[in-house]
Formats: sequence, structure tokens, C-alpha cells
Amino acid sequence: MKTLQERREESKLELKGFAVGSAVLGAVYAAFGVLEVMSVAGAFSFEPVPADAASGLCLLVVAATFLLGAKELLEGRTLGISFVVVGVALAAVFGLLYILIAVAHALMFVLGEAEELSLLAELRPEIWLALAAAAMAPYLRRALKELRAI
Amino acid sequence: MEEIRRIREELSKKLGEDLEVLLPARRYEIAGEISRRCLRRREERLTLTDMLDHVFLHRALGIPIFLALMYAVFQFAYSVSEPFMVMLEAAFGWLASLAGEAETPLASLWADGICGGLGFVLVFIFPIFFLFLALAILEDSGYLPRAAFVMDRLMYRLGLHGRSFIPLLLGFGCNLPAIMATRVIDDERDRLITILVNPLMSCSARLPVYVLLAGAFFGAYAGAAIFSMYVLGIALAVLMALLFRKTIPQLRGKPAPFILELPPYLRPTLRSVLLKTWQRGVVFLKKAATILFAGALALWALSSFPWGVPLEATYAGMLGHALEPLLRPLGFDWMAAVALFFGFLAKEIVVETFGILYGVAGEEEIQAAVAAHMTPVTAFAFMAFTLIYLPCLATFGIIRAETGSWKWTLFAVAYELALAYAVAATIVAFGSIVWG
Repeated sequence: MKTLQERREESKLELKGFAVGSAVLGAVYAAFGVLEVMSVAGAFSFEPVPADAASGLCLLVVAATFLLGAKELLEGRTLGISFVVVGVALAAVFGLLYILIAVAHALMFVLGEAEELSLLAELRPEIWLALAAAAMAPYLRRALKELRAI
Repeated sequence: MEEIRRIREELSKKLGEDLEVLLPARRYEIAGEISRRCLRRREERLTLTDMLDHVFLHRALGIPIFLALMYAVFQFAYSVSEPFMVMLEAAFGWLASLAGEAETPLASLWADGICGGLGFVLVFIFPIFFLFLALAILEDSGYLPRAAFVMDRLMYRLGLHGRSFIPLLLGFGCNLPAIMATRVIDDERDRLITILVNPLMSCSARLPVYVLLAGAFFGAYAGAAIFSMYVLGIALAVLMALLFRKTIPQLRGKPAPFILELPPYLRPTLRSVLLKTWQRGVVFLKKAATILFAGALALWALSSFPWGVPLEATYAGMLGHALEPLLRPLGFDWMAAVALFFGFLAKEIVVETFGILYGVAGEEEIQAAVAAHMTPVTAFAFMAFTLIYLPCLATFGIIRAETGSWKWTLFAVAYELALAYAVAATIVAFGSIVWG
């Protein structure tokens, strides 16, 4: 049986892991957010990255959430994990939104209202970034249970 | 009452804080003290609500997260509903074709008036239902009161009461219940300001206008164009509130402090979300069966008689040409003028009018017809004008009932007309400079 002190130490280590994961996700979200905004200005063009300023700004909000979480966790503040939880939730909201939009576009194509359907264009960064963020969810769930037990 | 007010003011001065803040704070202190004495707790535990509030109520991140979520809501309402709109539109197109060529008044009434006008508005039931669905999820999860709390800081600085946020947010659905909801605001000045600026919140009746024009002119950016109308509405509401607070003697002063108890976060249930969506969405269906149907008949009659003459020589054409000089500087033609004129009855009639006047069926055909009469800049100005220019007839009535004053009701109409004209003119002027 582990002592309370040992469990706290373990949980600290796990929180550091979340800090790193959160920082990486934050950086990737920020990079894609900037690219989406830059694409609007014509400074960048690559099909899987849409030119969509509003969506790019939303990605930057998700990035800021993850990065603030990483900062708080690295400073040793347990409550910093809240940012990671909300970051994953926001990533899921935007991922699901663009999956639904892709399905709507496919339906439009089937109905003959859209001339083409590009899988590359539909698979927006919001979708696969959400999948990357979702990979953190089971670990987060376990960590939250631990935190509330300690 | 005068004596009580005097004592309250004296106490507030003596204690250096408003009693509205001090009394509940003291009440919570006493409740906390009683609970500490009576209950034995093992230790304070971190709840999920505490964790989520740490982020959603964050000083810097709270508002950006709220805006990002609102953007997701409008993208969902616009983009995901598109195929369903297309399917319903095809159904109305087929129904219209049953009458054959619209050569007789009866065939024209069926094809152009009912299927082309009313049918075209009904197509927008999907974005409206999807919008209410997303808002119901946010409401049932417990997020919306947090949004009110987060916005209070900003709103207080801009002269609006924090409690105004919920009526303003309700305005996204319909301004009518939203104005009635201002009854929760105790301070009469705060309430009056909230009523006056509430019609600037973009109700669901205006969504069909945005969907039509944004789809016609802004392609992949249609969702962002629609979202910008909602942001414009919020921005104008807070700006006007600030202006009224500073300039109108009866409304001067600071907003009363805002105290809000935040409920815990909950997982929304499917039943509750669907029920809320239906209850709010069905208002649109009822409207379609009454005022929009009557509007379609009236508009069809005005645009068809005298029978056999060109559209410009019909009664609608005459009305449009009489109004056109007023709106010509904004780039709006006589058809747009007729649409705006009848939009006073209900904002959906703006779209219905386009459907009837252009005499074409189907969203794409009407979009193509609109695109031939407007530029992207004038279309954006038209969207802004529709957002601001007048409350609908029912909202006009409720403003009169809730303020109990014709003076304030007419003031609301006058300032909105002037503001709509100024904003649309600014968009047109700015657009002309930037895009030539």
C-alpha cells in the first residue's frame, strides 16, 4: 500500500507529463492557428490548411488554453490541469464540428449541390488535432480520479 | 421609502461599499460559518465545477473561449444545416411545379406566393433549429451563466448591467421573450437600457437573411460573415448602452452591482435539450403558419396586380420606387426597399419578398438573382441594415408594453433607423475605398 506522500509524489510526476503534453499540443495548435490566419492573407497556401481567419483564431484560443495549462503545471499548480481538461474539451468541440461539416459537404456532393469533394480539404487540422488531444483523455480521467482521491 | 433610501445611502457611504454587494456577501459569510459549525468534512476536495470554473471564468481566457464557442455554434447552425435546406427546397420546387406555368393568378399564387415565398422561408427552419439545439446544450451544461459572469466585467465597464446578459443572449433566439426577461433587472435605468438595446441582438428571424446573402456572396466565408453580424449586434448594443448612459439624463449613473449564483456543471440530457429546441423552434413554425403566410399572400398580391403588367409597374414596384431614393445611397434597389419595408412585420419576410419579387424558386436561383442586384459590399451593408434598422412589429409592441411609454418606444425605432443607415453607409463607404 502506497503512503499518501508517495501518491502525491507520483501525481506530481504525472502532472509534469501533462505539462509537457499540453505544451506540445498548445504549440501545434498555435502553429496551425497562425497558418490558417496567414493563409487568408495569401502568405501561405497548402490544401490541408484552410484559409480561414475565424477558425484560425479559434485554434489560437485552444492553443492558449493548453499553453496556460502547461505553464501552471510546470509551476507546480495542480489546478493547472483544469486548462488541459478544457483544452481537450474545446479540441473535441471543434473536431466534432468539422467532422459534421465534412459529413454535410459529403451529403451536398451526393445531392449534386457540390461539384467536387476533396477528402484532403475536408480532413481539416481541427479534426486530426482533436484526435491527438483525445489521446490524452484516458490519462486525464485517471489523473483526475487520483487528484480527487489524494 | 425615502427614509429607507437615505439610510441605505448613509450605510453604503459609511461602509465604503454598495449594500447590494455587502448584504449578500455577509449572508454567505454567515451561511459558511453555520455550515462550518454544523458539518464535519474530511477535507476540501477539488470538484470538476471548481476546475472548469478556473478556466471558463479566467480573466484573460474567459471571453476568448466564449467567442470561440459562439463561433462554433454559428458554424454548426449554418454549415451542418445546408444539405437539409437543399432537400426541403427541392421538395417545395417539386410542389411549385405541380401547378405548371404560373400564367393564371391561382397558379401564380401557388407557385410564386406560397411555394416561392412561404416555402422559401420555411427552408430556414433547419439553421434555426440547429442554432437552438446548440444553445440548449450550452444552457443545460451550465456554461451560459458562466458566460454571463465573464461578460459582466466588460459589460459593467460599458454601462450595462451583468444581469442584462441573459436577456441579451435570449435575444439571439427572439427579442420578444428577451425583452420580457428584462423584468429580472431591478434597477429601472438598467432595465430600460437593456430593453432599448435588445433589438440589436440578432434574433433567429434575421438568420435567413444572413444565410441567403452570405451564401450568395461570401462562399467559404459565409459562416464567418454570419458570425460577424452577431458580433456587430453585440458591439453596437454595448456601444449604444454606453452612449445612452452618458448622454440621456434619465439613464445616467452606474449600473447596479451584479450578483449571480453559478450552478454546478451538468451533463445535458437528450430529452431536455430536444424539448428546449422544439419549444423555441416551434415559435418559427407558428409564425410561418400565421404572419409569414399572410405576408406571403399580401406580397404576392402586391407584386402580381395589376395582373399582367411588368413587375416594376405592380403595386410593390410603385412602393419600391417611392422608397428607393432614400436607400439608393446605400446601393439598395427598389426590390431591397420593398423587402425592408415589409421586414417590419417580421424579419423573415425580407427573404420571402426576395423569393416573390425575383419570381424564382430555390435558394441557389434566388442567390443568383440577388447576386445580380447587389455587390458583396452592398450585400454586407444590407445584412447590417437588416440587423439594426427596426424591431419587428411584435417587438415594437412589447417595447411599448414593457416600457409603458410611447416616447421610449418611438425613441427605439428612431435611433435604430438612424444607426442602421449610419452603419450601412459606413460599410458601403469603407468597402468602396478598399475594394473600389
